[in-house]
Amino acid sequence: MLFNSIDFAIFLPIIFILYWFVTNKSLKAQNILLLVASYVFYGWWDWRFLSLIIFSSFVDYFIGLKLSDEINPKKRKGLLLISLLVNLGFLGFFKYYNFFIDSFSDAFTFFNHPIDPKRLNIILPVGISFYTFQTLSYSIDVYKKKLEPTKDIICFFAFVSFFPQLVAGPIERATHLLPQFHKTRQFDYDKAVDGLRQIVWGLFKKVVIADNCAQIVNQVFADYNDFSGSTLAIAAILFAFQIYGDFSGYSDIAIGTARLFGFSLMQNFAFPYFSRDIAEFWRRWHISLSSWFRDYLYIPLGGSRGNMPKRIRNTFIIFLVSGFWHGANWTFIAWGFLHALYFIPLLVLNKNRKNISAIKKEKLLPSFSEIIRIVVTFVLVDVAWIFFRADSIGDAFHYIFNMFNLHNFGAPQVGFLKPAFAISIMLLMEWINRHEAHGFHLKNLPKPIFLRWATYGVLLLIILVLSGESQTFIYFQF
Amino acid sequence: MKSFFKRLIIFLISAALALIVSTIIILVLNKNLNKNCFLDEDITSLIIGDSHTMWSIKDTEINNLRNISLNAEGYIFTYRKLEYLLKQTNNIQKIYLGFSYHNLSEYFDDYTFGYLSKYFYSRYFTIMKPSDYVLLIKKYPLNFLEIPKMAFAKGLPHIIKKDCQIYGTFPQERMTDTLNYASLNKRIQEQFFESNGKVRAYSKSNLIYAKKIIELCRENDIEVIALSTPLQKDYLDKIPEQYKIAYNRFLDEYDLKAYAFLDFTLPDSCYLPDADHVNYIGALRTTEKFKEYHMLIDD
Repeated sequence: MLFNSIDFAIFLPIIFILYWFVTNKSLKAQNILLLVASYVFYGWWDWRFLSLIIFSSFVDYFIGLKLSDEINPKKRKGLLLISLLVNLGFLGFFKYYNFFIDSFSDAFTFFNHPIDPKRLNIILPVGISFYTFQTLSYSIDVYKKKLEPTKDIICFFAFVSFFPQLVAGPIERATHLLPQFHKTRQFDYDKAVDGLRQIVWGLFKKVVIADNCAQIVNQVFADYNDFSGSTLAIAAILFAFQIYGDFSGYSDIAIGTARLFGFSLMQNFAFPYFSRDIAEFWRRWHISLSSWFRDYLYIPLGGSRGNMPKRIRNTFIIFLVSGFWHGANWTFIAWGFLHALYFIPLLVLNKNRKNISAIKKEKLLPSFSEIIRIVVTFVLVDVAWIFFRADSIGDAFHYIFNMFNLHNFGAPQVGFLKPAFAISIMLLMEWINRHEAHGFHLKNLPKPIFLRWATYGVLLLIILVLSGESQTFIYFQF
Repeated sequence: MKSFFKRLIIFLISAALALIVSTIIILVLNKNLNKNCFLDEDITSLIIGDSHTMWSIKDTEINNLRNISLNAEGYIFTYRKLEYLLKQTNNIQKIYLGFSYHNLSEYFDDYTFGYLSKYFYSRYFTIMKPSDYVLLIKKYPLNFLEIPKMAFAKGLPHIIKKDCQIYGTFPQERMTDTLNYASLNKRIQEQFFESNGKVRAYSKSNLIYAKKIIELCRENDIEVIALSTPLQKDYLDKIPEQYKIAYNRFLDEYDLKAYAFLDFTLPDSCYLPDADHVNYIGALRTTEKFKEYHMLIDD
């Protein structure tokens, strides 16, 4: 079920009440409730998806237990390999089978030996890319002895399927989330209220920013040859905010929801469009995925150790794999490749760790040079987003060519005031709260309760009145 | 925990009450603003309907006539518009009601009660009755939040701009695209056939409200004439026979005079791609032809 749906609006309070009023005396009962709720949540899309996640959970649970008993390094490696094969095998089949078939077919056709392989009508299970990586973090951490495997099957299954973050992250590490299922959760008033604030903020970003941008973006990208350069530029910018609003909005709702149940999830977005360079952008965008690739792929490959060619190689591998993770299309690989190209100069010049913290809290506005760097970084990221959004690499290149073609210069052909207004509110709020966990933090809200409630009321009204036509969360397709 | 629940419930109740009260205030203020939807005193004839009539008759070419058709207007909205209008003026003597084969089709119900209804209810917000919203919510329960949304999104700007949103005008934009057979076929499919190839059922809403429109006009001594704008020949041929029979049956049942431009042929270049709307050139010619007819029966 979608977070921005009546179904979820009914589901959440019911589970919340059962959790804190009915099952609160027993940790096991609470975990069982969360497990059942998570399966209901996930099965709401398609009950058939449940078989896959349950099977995956069984495999990794038993492999975890076996790993703790096994001391033979070869056998331990073999067990890890089984986990990798099963999890990545499912992911590869459901997500990439048809892509590889089509790519092989195209390659054979290119060399004048056309083949006609059988495509399969495969439904991609929602969230498979997310929970697969989450369970893999468990197997890998148990293998590396960073984590003791759990014997509590309910805890483990609940960890894998935890409904707030199951279908679109944040991709949690077993070392961070799993222990929380073993500990008694206490209701914390301030955390619950801030969790609600974060949910409302996430809804604002999703239904006001993302859904309104989507209407224009979909129209323009579908027929980009019919629009002027300025319109194409506007649509590209709006897509940057659509994907941010959609994905970070979902993450905010996920994190806020988890907090209502006493869980703490990792921050997934740290205001990435205020980044002053690409390296900073990647420390702020989809943090759970980029840190997963850093810890489980980049570092094992050698990371930043070794000579420069090796480091460049590792960087390319990470960005290409990251692109590939996003989807079975060459456009995502092109997107990853572009980001690798952006990143390499910073790596070579040793400037990839220059901007670690956000712009100082005391500063009301960024300096002129910071503004320039923010804008340049945004433009680079946005050009890459064109590849991400386009249907093909050819379309992306045509789109960019049309955008900059002086013969195609003309006034904007789409009305963008509504999304522009909403984006301005969001940027202002997130700028003010750039050192906080989310854009609607208490610290910067008025103190008297009636003023705070009025602020909440106004935001809820904005969500109601300015909400766009409901769109699927972009990252559900991954 | 108890304190959390207590405060949450108080907040939600306060927010809901504030929303209801402000929605009611906006509704009341909007009702009073409808006087901005006025007609000139010398207007004695009206054209009402959807995009077919809106885009085909340029009313500035015809004296004492106003075309207030609006695209995708279902008859429930036409009826409410007429009710409102007849309370304001006694001068109307003749109404041309856009009535063609597609108006009988159930696809119109998507605009009236279906997934597109919220857009149209927001357009006619200022003239709809509470019973219309009850009907909307009964048919599509998830739309209950659309009412306060409409109040703020449409009602507030209306209070500020004081404009009239319910009367259409001949479009400023010169639509010059021409017939395209792919669009024609898509249009026929969309209007008259379900996805499994079966002929679509008739729209209960449009039939009920078409009847109400006729009765309302006759109660007010207004002559009502069904007006079917020119249709491209191939489009006309593809309309299912039962729709043509039902159309004629409706005219007979309500003893309705009709003008369907049967003595008038337009070349394909005068139709928009979908073949059931005329383009700008087609509209100029249709207006001329309509003007002849109108002046003939006016005499």
